[in-house]
Amino acid sequence: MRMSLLKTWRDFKVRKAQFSALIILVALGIASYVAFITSYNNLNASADFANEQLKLADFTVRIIGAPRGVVEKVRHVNGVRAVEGRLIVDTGLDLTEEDQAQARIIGIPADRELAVNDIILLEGSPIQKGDSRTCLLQNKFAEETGKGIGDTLTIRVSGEKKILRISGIAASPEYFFAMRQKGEIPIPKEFAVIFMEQREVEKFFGRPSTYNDFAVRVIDVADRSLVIDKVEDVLEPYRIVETVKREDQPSNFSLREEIKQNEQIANTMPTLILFISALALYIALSRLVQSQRGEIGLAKALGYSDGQILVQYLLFALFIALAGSGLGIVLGQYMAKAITQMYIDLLNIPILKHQLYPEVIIGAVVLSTVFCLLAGLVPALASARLLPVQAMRFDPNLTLTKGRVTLIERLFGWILPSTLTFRMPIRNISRARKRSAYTVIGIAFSLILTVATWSMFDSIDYMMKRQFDEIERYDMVAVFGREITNAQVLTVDKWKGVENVQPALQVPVMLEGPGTQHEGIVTAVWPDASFHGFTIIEGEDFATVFKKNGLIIPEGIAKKLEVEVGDILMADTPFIDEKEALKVMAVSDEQLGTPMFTSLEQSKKLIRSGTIVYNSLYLDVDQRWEKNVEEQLHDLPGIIQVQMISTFKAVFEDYMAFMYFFGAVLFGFAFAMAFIVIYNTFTANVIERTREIATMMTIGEDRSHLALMITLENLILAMVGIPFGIYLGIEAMSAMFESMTSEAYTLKAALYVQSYFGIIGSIMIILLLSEIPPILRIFRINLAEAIKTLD
Amino acid sequence: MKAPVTQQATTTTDNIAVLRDVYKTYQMGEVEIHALREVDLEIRRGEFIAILGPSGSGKTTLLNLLGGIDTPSRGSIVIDGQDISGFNRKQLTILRREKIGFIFQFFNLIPTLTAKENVEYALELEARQGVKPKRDAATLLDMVGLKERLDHFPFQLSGGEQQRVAVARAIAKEPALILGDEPTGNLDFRMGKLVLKTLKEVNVAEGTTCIIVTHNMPIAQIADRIIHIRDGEVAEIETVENPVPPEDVSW
Repeated sequence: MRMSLLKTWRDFKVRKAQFSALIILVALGIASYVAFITSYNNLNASADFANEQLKLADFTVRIIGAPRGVVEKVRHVNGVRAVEGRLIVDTGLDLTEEDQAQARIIGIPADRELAVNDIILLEGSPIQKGDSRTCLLQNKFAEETGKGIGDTLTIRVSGEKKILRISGIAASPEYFFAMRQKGEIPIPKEFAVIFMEQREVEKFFGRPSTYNDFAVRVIDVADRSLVIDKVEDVLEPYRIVETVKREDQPSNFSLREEIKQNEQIANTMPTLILFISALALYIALSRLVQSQRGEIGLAKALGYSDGQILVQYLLFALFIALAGSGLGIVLGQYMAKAITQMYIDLLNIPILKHQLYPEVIIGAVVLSTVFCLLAGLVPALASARLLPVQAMRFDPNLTLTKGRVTLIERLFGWILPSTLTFRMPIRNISRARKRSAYTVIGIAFSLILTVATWSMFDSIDYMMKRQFDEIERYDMVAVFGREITNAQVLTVDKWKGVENVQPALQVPVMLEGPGTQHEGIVTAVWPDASFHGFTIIEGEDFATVFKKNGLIIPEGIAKKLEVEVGDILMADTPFIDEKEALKVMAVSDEQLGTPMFTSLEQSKKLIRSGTIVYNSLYLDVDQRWEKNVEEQLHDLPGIIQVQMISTFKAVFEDYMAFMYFFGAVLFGFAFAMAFIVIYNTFTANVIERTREIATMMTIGEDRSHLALMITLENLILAMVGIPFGIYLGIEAMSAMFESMTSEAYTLKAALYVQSYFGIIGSIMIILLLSEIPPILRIFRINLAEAIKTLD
Repeated sequence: MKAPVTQQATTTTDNIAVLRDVYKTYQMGEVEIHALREVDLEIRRGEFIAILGPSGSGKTTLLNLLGGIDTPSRGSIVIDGQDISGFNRKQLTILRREKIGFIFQFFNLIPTLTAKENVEYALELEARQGVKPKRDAATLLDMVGLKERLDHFPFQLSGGEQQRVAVARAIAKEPALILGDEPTGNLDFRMGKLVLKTLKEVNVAEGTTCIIVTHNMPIAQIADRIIHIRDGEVAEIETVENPVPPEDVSW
């Protein structure tokens, strides 16, 4: 064993650059594993911790309005641990003379801590009892608009402007992502969450002693569904608008979706990176065995057993595994902290939990050891199986098959350059097929991560373009809290700058499929509505669906509800007592959110109305008049929200910034790995041919021609490896996107034509850079020694 | 008959190689190894020289210096009128390409090239210097008796055949100097003799200077002169009055 260790160590020293590269490669794989898993754990822990500390409600019930005393009735329901009654009112907010936003005013007690949906004061002081002029502002909105302590906010109350002074900046588990409804893309600048003293809110909005929202936490052992039923029974007389469970709470839902995606990346990316590392290690060790055939034969002739030889080569793998995992764990921890911090900032979670996870560390060492030993096992077994005589004999792998020139030359010899500088690289590829195959595989695998990352960028870009150029075909949408009349639609249509107005009705629904339910918004439109571009995957075209009063649902929802075209879904809305049947007549391909559509005629049944009503307007506006139109819309009675598609696009781009950051990190990994894999393969190619190259130099071959021949050989191998790598990369990306697709968005792998050039260009640059060390090695060959060395 | 070990420093056109006060020292860790010391030599054009000495005596080092594979630590080496001791790598490459033909103990043919292509490769290298090769590979291989083996790859040839291809490759560019490092060291007796015969024929027919390294005294007897090397020094330069024809050599 001592001798084995000694030999392993000496072989390491002889090829220290190659083995160091392999250690770095394994370290990169382990670093990615540690970083992604730890940041995922940190993120999960931070979210859980924040939700627990701030007592996120198990469910909330929104009602039209009830006297404050009702809260006591709810508190006494069996299974209720705590309840908070609140008055929540949505209203307008003037950011500047021109800029408006929506505000959600939430009434909270000033004299005690909230028992449910608590808030954390990040800076400033809490609101004072009886002070009608102070408020707390949600941190993200404050950050986006630059509002701080002492600044004022102008809100609109029944047409009047009221000034509030900001006394503190706070975060709430209900609004880590400030959004009104599930699936919405949050636009922090356009939605302010303001906390005021409950009684002051009541006074402001003329709703004395009223709660319209009950946030409930249930005791751990209670059956939440039963508790919900009982609480709903208590609140039934006050007209329930909706009940939202914790997992469907918009902010929490989005947060969990993000965490779920992070989990997918944490599960797939490190596996892919480790797999590439293992493959590179396998190739390197196979080449080592190949180059040490003579030594193996001699050792066996001297009496070394198969087992001892096996251990000898497994020691290489073990050494690389341990060194790689040590380096990777340290690197991974630093990366995890940076990634978690970025996530926490992006997701607006106020509490960061960063810690060491022993199971991740142990997992990293075990994974590294298992991957490396598996990678080393095949070459080690091959070395152990070699017979001494066979091992010491000339390696038949290094000759041309059957003593014939290559097939390429036989077929295309007449057009290929006759110079041997050109033909030798072709023959080198053909004579050592295993070596060439390893090089091709090395190039292909080093490309997987590059292609996958590039494809991620393209896919996001494609998604954005499709969403904002093809699907969302309007400039702004205005949503109202009450119905708007045809006359109002006509008035808006006549405003300066308005090019087209399409009215619609947005109805909150609960759809019931055979197995499950889906809660969302159904938009009812006229058959000739054109503000949404449909890509129908299955079923009738959209105009026919609307004429026949059918329903169009996205593919994701069809899968979730387990329905097909022709199936019936039962729809429940806050406006009807009995569920309404909706026939699925088409399934569409959507990207963002889960928009569902039906006809305005059908919507009458969903809201129990005899006439067609609207609550939203989709407008095409001349860009020069956008600001004016937006202002005018904000002045309309009942307006809840005006959303500019350009703002939405900008926010979404910001939202995707993290994906770009992530992509940049992966690119770093991809390029580093590609360099190491190719460098190792090329270096082995040169080492194996040292005597041959030295002979060529001795008889007068110059360095530039040798470099050219090696480059040519590598380029030919790259021509085979690159398409293979691109194919594998796209497959890897498609699989990852499929696993990341959620209700919030559907991701499809895309790779633009120009990206192919980019990928090929960058891999060529890496390839040429990776060639430099082996070529320099050639230049340093001691000719006198090398020409006498036996291959 | 013995010639003086140290000769006058004359460089005439009759001399293909002149070495003056040549030293070669290697650093092995902290130890200095003196591979060659104080070597002074003159080799005339058309001579057949054998460098004889035991293993580790410095004979291969001397050959390497003559061939521009290695550079001296001290002293000057003039090959075909050019002092190569101060040559850089590129100049040495061109020197080897134009003026030196090498024959190695282990043949060192390019395994991916046929016999004919191995010779053509040397011609291709020569052509890069703007010199149009005067001979073709087939003729050269015919000269060494391998007319029928033109399209065979090295692994399809016997040792002797491979070495004869190496000889054809070495003479292809009509070098000023052919250097053979134990050219028969890896061949059986019969093949060895065949290779020596070929070398001698080239030497006689073409007038090409040949220098071979050997530790085998009978083989050295085919040369015009024998340079005896011991412990890195030229111990003796022996002129062979009647060189033995290769076919009569036995060892």
